[in-house]
Amino acid sequence: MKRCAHRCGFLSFFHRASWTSAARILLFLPLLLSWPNAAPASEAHYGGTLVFGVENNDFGGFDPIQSRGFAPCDAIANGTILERLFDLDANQELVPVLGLAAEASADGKVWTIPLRQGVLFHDGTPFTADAVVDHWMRLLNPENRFRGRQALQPIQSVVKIDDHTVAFHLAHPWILFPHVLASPRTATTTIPSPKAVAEGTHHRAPVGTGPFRFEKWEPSNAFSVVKNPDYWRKDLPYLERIVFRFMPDHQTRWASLQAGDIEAMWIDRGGIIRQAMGDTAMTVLDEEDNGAEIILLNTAKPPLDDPRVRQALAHAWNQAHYVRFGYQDCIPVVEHPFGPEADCRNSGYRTHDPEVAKRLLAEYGKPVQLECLHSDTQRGREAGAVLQQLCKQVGIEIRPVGLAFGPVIQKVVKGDYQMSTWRIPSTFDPGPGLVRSFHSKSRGNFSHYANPDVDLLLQAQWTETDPEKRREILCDIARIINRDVPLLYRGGAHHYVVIEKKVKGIPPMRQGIVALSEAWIEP
Amino acid sequence: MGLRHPALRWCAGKLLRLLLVVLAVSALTFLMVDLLPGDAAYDIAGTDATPEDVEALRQQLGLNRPVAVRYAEWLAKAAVGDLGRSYRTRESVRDAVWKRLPVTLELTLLSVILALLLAVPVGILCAYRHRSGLDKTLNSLAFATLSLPSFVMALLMIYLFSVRLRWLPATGFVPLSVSPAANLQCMLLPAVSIAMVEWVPLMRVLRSDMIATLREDFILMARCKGLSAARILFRHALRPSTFTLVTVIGLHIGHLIGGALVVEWIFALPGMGRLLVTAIFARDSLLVQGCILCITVGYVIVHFGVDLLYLLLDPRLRSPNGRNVR
Repeated sequence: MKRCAHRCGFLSFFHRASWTSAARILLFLPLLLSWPNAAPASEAHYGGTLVFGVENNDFGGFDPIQSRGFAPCDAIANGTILERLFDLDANQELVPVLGLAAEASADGKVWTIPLRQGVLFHDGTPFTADAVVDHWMRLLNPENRFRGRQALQPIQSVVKIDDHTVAFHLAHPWILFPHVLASPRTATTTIPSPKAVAEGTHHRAPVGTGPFRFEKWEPSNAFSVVKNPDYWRKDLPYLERIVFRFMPDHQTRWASLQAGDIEAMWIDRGGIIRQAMGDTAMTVLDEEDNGAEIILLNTAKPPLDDPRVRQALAHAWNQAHYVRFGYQDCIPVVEHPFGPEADCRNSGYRTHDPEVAKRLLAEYGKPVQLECLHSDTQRGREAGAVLQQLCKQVGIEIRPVGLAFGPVIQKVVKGDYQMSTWRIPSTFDPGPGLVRSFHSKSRGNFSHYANPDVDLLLQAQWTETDPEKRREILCDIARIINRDVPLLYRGGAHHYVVIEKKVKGIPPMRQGIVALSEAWIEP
Repeated sequence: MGLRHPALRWCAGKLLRLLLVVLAVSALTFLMVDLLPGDAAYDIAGTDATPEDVEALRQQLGLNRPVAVRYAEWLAKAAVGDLGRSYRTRESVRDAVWKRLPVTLELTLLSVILALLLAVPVGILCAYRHRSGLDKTLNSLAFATLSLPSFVMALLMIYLFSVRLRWLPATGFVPLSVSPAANLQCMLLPAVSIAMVEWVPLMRVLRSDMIATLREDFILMARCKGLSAARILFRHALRPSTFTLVTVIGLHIGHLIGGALVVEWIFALPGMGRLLVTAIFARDSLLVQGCILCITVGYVIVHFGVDLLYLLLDPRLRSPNGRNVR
């Protein structure tokens, strides 16, 4: 199997940047001078249409407040129209986009960002500090109930210094803050036209400053963008048009790519990924990321309120077997959700050991019958069936229950469940997600796991500014979680995009997203 | 006054029944979607939301109100053509349905035409050569294609015509208004996938009705008069043998208006089936209502058309007392 071409675990930031260096003024003068005038790659060709096969049945809309969050392909499309303040290069260094530099105050709680001048939104309005402030304050306003706000909790306000300078005020130093602004996976970081947002049109007809303009959206059929002739990077983009075609059936998507109907596609099916890797006409872009597929255990519901039962489940579960069966080893077996570069050495992960499971159940002394909710999809059914069979071997009776996503979420949010398939999403920083999922006071702690030691560690990891110390704190959390078992891991995150060999200029994936701004097609 | 004419009275009665059916179906749909576990707020809020977020969203969407109140409000707006907005995508329900309906209608009509092109000649031939080797062979072939589900047929055809031969695109819908040729190219495989399964029941009912018709005295009379076999079959036997065929076609069309979900899914066609199923999974009740309303009206119109066709096919039904003949 091809290995990950580009690893993007957030802990890599720790090795390449430290709080002390981040606190220094980060200026990007060389890049600033060179990038807008950068000559195109000598062999790059202008023109052509790239058709991208999308896994979604449709996009969910582009307003972060109105949408439920981005699937990877939503974010890929969003990234062609809208831009962030910063990007990250292959070395995880910040690259200026709409922001020119990020300067931290001495206490690390205020970040001042000068903005690029002379940039226009696609509707002709100028990009200024007001656009940045309006966007961020709209997300931070509690009345708007932006559902990703918990991950942005340290950001208290964003203020305008002058027409082309803004300042982010944080509650406490946050080592990864500049990288938050560079995350490609979310609509949080991209700046929309204030006019389009105010008029309520942005959700269905997004307006940004990016290399492509929104052209049309044929629901459940296609979403297309066309070249922005006024783009501030004068040599870009190369492509005339990108069409995102909604193709929910993965077999058909693959057949379309083989037949030449499309040039690229998102895929998460092991069998097809393996076929694509063996196809000389295709290139497979991939990236191992943080986050994990899990089975959430409700620690407040008997018999899962007894740690011995949860530990027995952990020893009955065989993650490696499930990853092989369900994903053909195209996603990694994980012991924590922090990504491939967080080496916790001994994480205390409970491996498959039916004898230990039986011993723990004997200590518990009562028969164990559990209900496991899963999404009524192929993936969900596989998880339910594998869990049922593995647990049967140690004497635990599992009843898998398939439901649509909405009812699964409803039951989990209400605490009306024992076990459920769930996900720790890939994100720019898993810290906020950890706090949300495992802090005893968090309203998003759906496993109802409560451990004062973990609460303290969760708080500490968020404010810790030493990268190595933060890594150790996270590993301590992983060890305690593996000991107490509020969840079972079903595999880590590994993203794949398959493109035809003739498509060039696509940089390595980041957080599962491919940037298409510089893509071109070989004639 | 104006309804004294029997035909007008008949039409008015049909329209009244249509209205009652639509009302009953819409009320039942609203109730059933409400009874399903979960609601749109949980689907929209996603896994990042807190219980408070979900509750706020429920209030914002009006999902916290009783189902009867929501239905009455929907009905009042629907009466003036406003079907509301999708909870999930904020797309106008009327626009969403309106955009998908032509795709489904085209797929339906094309597949029925293709199925008839196959079913009618084969059905007539089998009836004419009843119990012959040809009849048995064609029937066996028909059952073989019937036993292949449409999604298997679809995948086989994609592999053959798209991947191997590269004659037709596997996916990618082009509206008829943009390019009729490209439209036909992208609709051909989906329509054939459906037709290859649907033609068999059509052929079977035509065959059995035709066999019965060919035993009638008037056919014997035609033979005695020395008419050619083709003239007897197509001019005299076909028309009275198509009653059941027309009924079955009506049922098929009604069924397909609801969306040939699997085929739409595999070929990535933006039709009613995908819209409806996505709406059901998301508990997007307004969108479900819009789809069901459209399907119900479509169903009733098709059956109204079938009733009219009976009148055309059998002159006896046109007489005032004729409706009792059948």
